[in-house]
Amino acid sequence: MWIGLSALGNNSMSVSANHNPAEESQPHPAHFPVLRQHPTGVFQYIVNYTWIFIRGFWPILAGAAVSDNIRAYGEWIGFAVLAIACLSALLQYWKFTFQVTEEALVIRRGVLERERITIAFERIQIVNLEQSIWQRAFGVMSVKVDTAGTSGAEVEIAALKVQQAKALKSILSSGGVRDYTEQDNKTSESASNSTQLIALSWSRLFKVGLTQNHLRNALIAFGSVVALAEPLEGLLTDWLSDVPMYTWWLLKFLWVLLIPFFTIGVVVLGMLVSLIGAVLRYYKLQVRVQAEGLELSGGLLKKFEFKIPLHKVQMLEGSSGVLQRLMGFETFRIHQARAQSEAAQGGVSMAIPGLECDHAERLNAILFPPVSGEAEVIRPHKMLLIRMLIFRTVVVAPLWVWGDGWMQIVGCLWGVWLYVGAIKQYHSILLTVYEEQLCMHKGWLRKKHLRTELHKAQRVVLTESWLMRRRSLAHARIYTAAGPVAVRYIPKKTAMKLRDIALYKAEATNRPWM
Amino acid sequence: MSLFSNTSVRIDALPSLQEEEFEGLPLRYRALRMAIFAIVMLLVFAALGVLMWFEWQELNTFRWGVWLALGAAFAFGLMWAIEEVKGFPLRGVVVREHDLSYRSGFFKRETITVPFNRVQHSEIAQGPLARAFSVCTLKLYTAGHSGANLRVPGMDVDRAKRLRQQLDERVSQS
Repeated sequence: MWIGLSALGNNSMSVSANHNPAEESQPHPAHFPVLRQHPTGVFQYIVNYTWIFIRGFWPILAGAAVSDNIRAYGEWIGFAVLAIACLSALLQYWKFTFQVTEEALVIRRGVLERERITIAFERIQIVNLEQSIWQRAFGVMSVKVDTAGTSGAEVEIAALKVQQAKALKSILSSGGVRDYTEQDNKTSESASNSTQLIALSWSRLFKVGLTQNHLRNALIAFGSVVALAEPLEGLLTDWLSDVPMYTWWLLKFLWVLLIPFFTIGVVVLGMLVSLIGAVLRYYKLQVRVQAEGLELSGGLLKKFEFKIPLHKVQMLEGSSGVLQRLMGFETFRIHQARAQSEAAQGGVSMAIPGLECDHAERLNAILFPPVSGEAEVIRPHKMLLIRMLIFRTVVVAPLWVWGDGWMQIVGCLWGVWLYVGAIKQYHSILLTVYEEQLCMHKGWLRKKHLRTELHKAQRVVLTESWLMRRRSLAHARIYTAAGPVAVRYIPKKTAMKLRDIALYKAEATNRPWM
Repeated sequence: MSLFSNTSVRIDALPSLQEEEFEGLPLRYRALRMAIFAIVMLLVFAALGVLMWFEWQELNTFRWGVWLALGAAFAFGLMWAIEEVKGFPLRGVVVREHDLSYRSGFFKRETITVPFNRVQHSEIAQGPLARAFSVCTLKLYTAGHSGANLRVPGMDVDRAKRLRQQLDERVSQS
């Protein structure tokens, strides 16, 4: 790690994408083979391009729905689009080459505008392997490399033979000391020196499915059913008109009896959706600990394989709903530094569901080794509670003021619910500062806790509004590469002390932080 | 890599960021902000004036919406003026051995600190208006998706360049 860093020397930027035409004439380093993807990558590109065309030219598609003229040429347009997509896919495939040198992955790509991307191994944050169904038929995988640079460079190699992909991943994520060609036959050995931390069995998977958020899933299912039912409207009305009149007459009186059926239906639907979702996502989920890092794999239709070096884990987030707590489960989420461009899409999240207490403890101990030492507890000031209550009052007040009799009752009940929630939430917020770590707890029905190390801090922000200044309060936010840990409304002195500690830890250490 | 040592540190003995250490930005920047304020206010009130003129032509009186817009414009101008007048002396930077802090804002005061060893790259930006007042914006970028970067507007150009040079030296050393 350290040798690699110093060897890099002046090349401290994570990604140097340059469009310099002079770069092209530069010969490839001789003893590293220039590689291409597996030919099935062309299919991937064709699919991508077709999708891009469809998205880019939707006005034409919309026009086709209205105008007969366009529809007459529809086939020709379709053929043309497909032809262009095929051609560009072929070109892109042909022009995409990559090379694994001693310390970097060098990618050359682009048809009209040539691009050369050099990614130093140390700068690589995540290497993901993914395999969709059709890819499995051909025995290929796609490799995604994320550098978390500010330029947001993310590179995808669309198709590689499984063997090759796995070898490439192990090189990229190990800091790259071995030769790519040597690696091919070594992959089977590397699996043996890893210890398995968690393997999700069928029964556990079933339980995980049962403890998902059913309400949300049921709503999603309901929404999609409604959306699908739109084109079937004609059929539906036909069917409804066949229903004899007396049924409607009965319904008028007996609809109360139907409520339990509906409720049960919705619950069952929600559970079913959650179960299917859980199986699709977490089928055969395995978490292994290796010398180089943590490895996750699983998935039914779309297989995935994540690998992350331990010191690159920025934050560990655990959350548990009511049902999950009853089962003694917790869902853990591992946050790592991510490219900025990916933030909007949510990026790849490494979620580990269904962790029992002892597993959670072990994961915690591996990622953030517990240190015995005095801990300081920070809780927010009363002003936060007051503010929460005021906000909620503003939300409910219209019901009290302008509502009718029963609306006011509903408003009252809702208000009480909101107030209880606010008070519970307020009391659950708790930041514990250990010597090296920060641990944040919050949430009432859905409990959450965040854990990070102090030396991962990249930016510390203190905010105080005009009102808070009079009570000498402040918000403190400590940003890591994966996002902030925020405590609001704490005494300013505490906030400043927190800032001093975080800055001291970040500045005094030379341990790698990402 | 030096040998790892871990001597215990008392928390109250840690170097603390003091409010008094912040040094203000050059007065030229204040002039720039005032110019922007004046231009925006001029545009807003010019637009309102045109609106009122049309209203007067048409109805010989003003509807309540016009009064509302006028009031909102005045309130906005007043708030902004307070922010500028009271807030400018609060704007400031501290450059310590290992980090840079920037403080700004009157109604909502914010102090951002970025340690130098977490900076991925830096940038000096200068628009046409800033060039006229010979100030520039120093931007520090850190890694990751938190968008964690620090913008210090209204810095003296020479100072920003010197600071940036120091930073580059540090980054290439580590």
